[in-house]
Amino acid sequence: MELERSDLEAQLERHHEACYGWALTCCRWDRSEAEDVLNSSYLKVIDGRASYGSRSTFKTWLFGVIRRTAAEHRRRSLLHRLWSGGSLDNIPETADPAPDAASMLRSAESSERLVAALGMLPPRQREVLHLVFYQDLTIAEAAQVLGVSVGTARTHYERGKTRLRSTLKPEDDE
Amino acid sequence: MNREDMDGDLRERFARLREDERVRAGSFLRVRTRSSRALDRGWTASMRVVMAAAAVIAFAFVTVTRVSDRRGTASVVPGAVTAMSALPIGSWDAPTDFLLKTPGAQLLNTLPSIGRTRGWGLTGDAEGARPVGPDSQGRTPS
Repeated sequence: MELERSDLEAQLERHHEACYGWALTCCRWDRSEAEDVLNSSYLKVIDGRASYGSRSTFKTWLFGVIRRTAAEHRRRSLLHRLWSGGSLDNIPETADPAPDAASMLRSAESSERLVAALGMLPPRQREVLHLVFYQDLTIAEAAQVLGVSVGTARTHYERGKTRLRSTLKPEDDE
Repeated sequence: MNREDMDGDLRERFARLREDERVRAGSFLRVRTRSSRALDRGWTASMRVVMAAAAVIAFAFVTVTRVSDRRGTASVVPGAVTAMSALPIGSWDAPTDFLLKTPGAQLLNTLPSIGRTRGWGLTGDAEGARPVGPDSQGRTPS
């Protein structure tokens, strides 16, 4: 099924807020990078470099495009840092986020604490939890977005929930 | 306790986060028409790579050209000198050439031939020549 350009733009606009939230998760809440990724993803969809094949819902397909685009941006950013002589230690995607996340946890508001706790999870667990709880997708749909089996997605989901709760619990007890 | 109740706390937290982010999301058009910093950055990085590659290629070309020029000059100059001095060498004698001349070399150059008497103590022509001295019986020719 080929969508017209105007239809595509209308679909993109309809899902924009959800896409923004998903892009934030893919970019570890770096808002500027998330907007870059969204911009690139929208251009891909509108230019036809990414074409919707109706094998899934438009939303899950679009989330897949955003996820891949975020990975491309991450790689490009890594190369850029290497090229400009930057240190790999400063790259948030490869560096251990735990110290920053831990310090954030102590002082942040509820939403920020949740973001910080999510930042302490491995990427797959974080993504599955976001897709299920934030985007209200089923585990099967989340598996489709991530390109993994439903069983794998369920494992990440269960482990992620346990770990997220254990991270948030001490803060709740204070 | 069903699944919904078990995860209710997490759903509540995520719902609050979603509301917060909805406010911050900005309009679709703003993001759609955003001049991508990442794209610019990518282009700049690509241009740097291309320019660095061009500089390396130019440097390598100049170096190779210079080296081959030097080699070319080195191989041509001795050849030219040899060609120029080839003519005088043909008529040139070394001052120590006499050392190479062995005593009696003229004997080797002048091989005796049968019937020829030159230089062997015989007088007259080869035909009808007779010995000048007494023969084996003590008679001298008249």
